[in-house]
Amino acid sequence: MCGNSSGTPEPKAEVWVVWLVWSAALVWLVARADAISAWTTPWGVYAPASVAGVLTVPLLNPPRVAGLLLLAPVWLFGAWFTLSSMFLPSGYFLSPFFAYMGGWMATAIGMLVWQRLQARRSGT
Amino acid sequence: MKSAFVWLTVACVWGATLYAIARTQSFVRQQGAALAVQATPDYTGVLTRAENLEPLSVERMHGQLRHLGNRVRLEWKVGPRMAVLEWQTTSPTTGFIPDSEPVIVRALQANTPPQVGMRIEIVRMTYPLGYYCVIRDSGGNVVDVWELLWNT
Repeated sequence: MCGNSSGTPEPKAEVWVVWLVWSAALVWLVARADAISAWTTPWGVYAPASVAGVLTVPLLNPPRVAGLLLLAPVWLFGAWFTLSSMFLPSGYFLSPFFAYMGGWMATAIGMLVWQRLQARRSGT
Repeated sequence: MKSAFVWLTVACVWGATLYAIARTQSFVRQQGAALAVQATPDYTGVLTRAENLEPLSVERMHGQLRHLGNRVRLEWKVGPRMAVLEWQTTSPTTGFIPDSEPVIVRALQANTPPQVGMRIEIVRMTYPLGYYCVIRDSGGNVVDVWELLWNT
């Protein structure tokens, strides 16, 4: 985290660059889905969700409008992807939800725990 | 400068997400076809008629489904001709699309046109009006995967 004049930590520039890469990866994935192996594409969706989970913690600490505006599309895509899973064979309904939102939440919680451990170790 | 970069990132992520949402349907259909190949079929049959199925359309075609005793016939118009796919059922058809109902057919994976004697396996979607039709040759290899929607 970097500091600003008001003393509030701001996400580093790398975080924003990763978000740009995230959005590019998502576009590439859905645009090329027909050409990519059907068994590879789900991981192409869940991996960005996990990356988004890792980046959620610095974005929401402290909460900022820009941070929330970055997270909203992650949730929006997750919600639409879940709704679209109606068209998967029965038995697979909600599996995109668990994989996408689960990946996002698991990595976000993991990042939060890691940050707390780091803070405790450094005595802050 | 940094603020501009932040807002540019926000704009890019929103643009990317909206584009991704617009493409999600076809993405999910491709995934569904891949999963249907592995899934346990809800209905099975052996093809007894396959006419005018070349070329297989990746566009949605409007047609009709008929029950003829232990046979099910799917027919739709391709230009001046009538494409027909008929199979003899090898499992109960309870809960399947009723007789004379309009349907929408589309090839999701079209490798070769189906031929008489091939097996058809039908897998339900969670969407109550939708099915995947997996057509296999005598060796069990997947020849085509079709989407079948009850256009009620």
